[in-house]
Amino acid sequence: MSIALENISKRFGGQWVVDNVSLEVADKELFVLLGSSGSGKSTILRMIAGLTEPSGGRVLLHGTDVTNLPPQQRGTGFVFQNYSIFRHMTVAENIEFGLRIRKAPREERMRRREQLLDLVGLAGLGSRYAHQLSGGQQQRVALARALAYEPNVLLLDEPFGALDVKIRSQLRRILKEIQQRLGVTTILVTHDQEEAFELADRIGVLERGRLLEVGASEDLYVHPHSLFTATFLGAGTVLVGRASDGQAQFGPLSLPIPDDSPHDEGARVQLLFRPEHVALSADRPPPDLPLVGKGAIIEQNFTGPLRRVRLRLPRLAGTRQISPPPPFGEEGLLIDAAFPSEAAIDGQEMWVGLRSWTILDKPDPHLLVCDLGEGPTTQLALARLLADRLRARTTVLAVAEDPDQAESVRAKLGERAEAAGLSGATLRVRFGKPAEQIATEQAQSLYEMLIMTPRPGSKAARRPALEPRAKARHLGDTLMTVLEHADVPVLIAKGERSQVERVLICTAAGEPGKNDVREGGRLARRLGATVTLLYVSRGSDVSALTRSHLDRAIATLKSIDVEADVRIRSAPTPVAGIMAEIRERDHDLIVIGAHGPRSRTRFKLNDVMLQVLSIADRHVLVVPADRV
Amino acid sequence: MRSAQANRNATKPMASARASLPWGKWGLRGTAFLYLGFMVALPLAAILRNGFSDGLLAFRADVMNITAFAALKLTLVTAVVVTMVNAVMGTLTAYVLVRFRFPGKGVLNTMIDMPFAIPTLVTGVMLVALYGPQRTLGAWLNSHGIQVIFATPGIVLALLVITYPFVIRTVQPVLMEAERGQEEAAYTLGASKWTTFRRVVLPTIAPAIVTGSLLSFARALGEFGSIVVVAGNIPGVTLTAPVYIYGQIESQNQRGASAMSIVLLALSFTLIVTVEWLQGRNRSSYVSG
Repeated sequence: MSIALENISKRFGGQWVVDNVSLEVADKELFVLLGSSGSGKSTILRMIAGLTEPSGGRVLLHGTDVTNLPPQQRGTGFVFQNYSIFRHMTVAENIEFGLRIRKAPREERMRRREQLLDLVGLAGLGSRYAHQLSGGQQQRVALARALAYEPNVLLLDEPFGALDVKIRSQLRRILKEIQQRLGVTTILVTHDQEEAFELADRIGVLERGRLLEVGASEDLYVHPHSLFTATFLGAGTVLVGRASDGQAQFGPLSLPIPDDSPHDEGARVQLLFRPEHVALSADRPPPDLPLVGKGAIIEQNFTGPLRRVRLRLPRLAGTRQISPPPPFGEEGLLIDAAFPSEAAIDGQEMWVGLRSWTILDKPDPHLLVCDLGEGPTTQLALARLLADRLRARTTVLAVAEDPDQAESVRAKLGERAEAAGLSGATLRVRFGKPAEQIATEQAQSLYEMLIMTPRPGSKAARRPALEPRAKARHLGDTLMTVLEHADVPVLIAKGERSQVERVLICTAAGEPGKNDVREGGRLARRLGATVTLLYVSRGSDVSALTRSHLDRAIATLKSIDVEADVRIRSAPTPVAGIMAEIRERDHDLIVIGAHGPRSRTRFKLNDVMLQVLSIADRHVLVVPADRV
Repeated sequence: MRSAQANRNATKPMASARASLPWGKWGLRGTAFLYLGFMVALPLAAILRNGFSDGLLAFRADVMNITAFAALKLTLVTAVVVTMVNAVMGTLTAYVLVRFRFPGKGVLNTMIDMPFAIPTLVTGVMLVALYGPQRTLGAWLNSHGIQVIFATPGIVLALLVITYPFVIRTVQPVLMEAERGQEEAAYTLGASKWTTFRRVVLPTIAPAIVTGSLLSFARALGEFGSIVVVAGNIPGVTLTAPVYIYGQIESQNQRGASAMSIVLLALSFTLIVTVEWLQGRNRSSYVSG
């Protein structure tokens, strides 16, 4: 092993920039670390070179632990993005610098210098200064300088980032050739997916300091495991459905879940297919292929070798879309397809089939907390509790009116998150209308749950009293809109409680699904809380229908190992029954399903969920029904 | 877009004004030149005339007599010492200020310009208050055989205080602009911190160090206020050239004062031209790089 990183971490000002990364790079390998800016890729490289001290973990070069060695003694060759050529020295002096430090004899220095100038294609330019060279030439000098003393490993930090496209591809070819000829183990850092594909023997994908996946370019592209890798490495459609009997269900489309990525019954499943794996056919469904549906072409682009097509299909039941990111209010299913540009596509309505697809791994739990930037921080405290118990990643979101406030909003958000003990959370600031931005954020990524607070005294108060939403006016417009659009359970923090020990799941016969029971049960299990299953009846007698409904709910809970205490209360209204129950047994959290026709229509006036949400001084988890 | 529009609007009336009043620009230039001549060239001519009024031999005698020559030598020697100390300590201070983070950095950074703000006479008084023979520090040094006030060390000290900011303030911005990457590149290539400083950092900031040093040298040559208080002004021992000139004026020897002034003037002028040239060279190498 030329380079080995063992659980290496780096913390900057309370944030983990590099989080427990382990990696092995084989001899003569060209390894590419790929990640967006701020993913910690350069920090990893600097820790290998000794320019940044790790907060934890070990760095091994050729089997020797160099963690505590200064950069001078590591013998790495480092190429910086901005060249960092010594400006007061000639090209030749630059290249000879490392050899001079090592007191190499003059003849050897000259021989090596000429060799390298030749290798990087700068023969005859040895007496020039940096300001007499172009950017591409300067970077080649930097490469030659780093290679001159035959380094243990070669480290390149976005070496082509500052160059224009043409020179970039030319330099890539030169680099690959030199690397292969010299056989020096190399790590290159880039944010450019194309560059990674072109150069890498293997790619490591980094997201927010964590090494998500390592593999050959083609494997990562065709069979990624995580959502981030899937969308970072190229275009494609990602749908979220549910696991059922070992199959992934996306409306009528049913695909087998591979054995190596097990999913719990009822858990969410992510499906990826690339544009070039989409089959279109005008007249009849493509034979022998899984069918997504029939849709209209809404966009067509010629991009040289490929023709890119976007189609809108009717939404699949119980399925939502993550990629391509659906715009706010989009009702349909958007699918991108790509074909060799000479293939003609005629017709507007097309059948869409899948030639190839991948089921992604079960997603890590990820919470989205919406913060108003002021007022109580109950939702942050609650998020911290859940993040600890669920071992979930947390993103704290604030919505600002305009981008000018970005800095101050982010700073304030950071302070509040820090104060609530959420220092490891990712901070995110979006701009625009809060409700739209929150809904868009939760739609574009796979969050397990949304946590927020009602905002008192919102604009809703100005609406006429007859408007259906008037009853819940003090919950705030934002919360109402988010509840209407959310695809995931929404936890509304109300009151002061920072512990959740008793969970009340409210259920009623004839409800749309068992989602609320299952989600509530799973949350209670992970929190280690006791569960009460409540049914409120108008009279004192319990019908057979109710009995069978309750039995089904209990069975659902049993299937996820949750024992529930069943309560049947009689009360004039469901809300009165629920309120009496929480007063009597002092529950911390109420789980309730979002009722009614849920095809993104507004809530009914007498919605039980909204009434509970308005009256109760406890946290409420609102579970959306699967869309029909 | 909007500013381009505004520019066009602004230039038009000006152009027409120029066309209608052709004497306007000559009038302005003439005024500037007259002012320059009145303020600089004329006094310069006057002193040259004064200094050389009795010919070159007299000039030579004025400058080379024992007292005058000793004063000139003392001024040059102290200025050279001060410049060398400044070059080293100023670079060190600038490096510390740019490269390290430490509590109190902001305060230190503001304090550096203090000597510019303190009247030089006050600087002299401050030093006397600290190093005077009756003061604690002065008395203690005296008992160890070191006399500061009314001696050469006092002069050097006063000049050091007065010229303190020059090198720091010229080196600091260059160091800030220099890529940190170059130093890191040198480290990865195996160069120790000292080697890196010597071979990579120093060549980059050398012109700035020289510029700052020359400026402080020029400043030290002409310093009067603090020296008059600190030096004791014993002819041939602690009398510096500027104080000598003052003495000659006091004793109505205009020609002698002018002659010495011409020597100081010539030195200063040479230095300023050198600094200009250095800075120009520096700038052009930055532009093309």
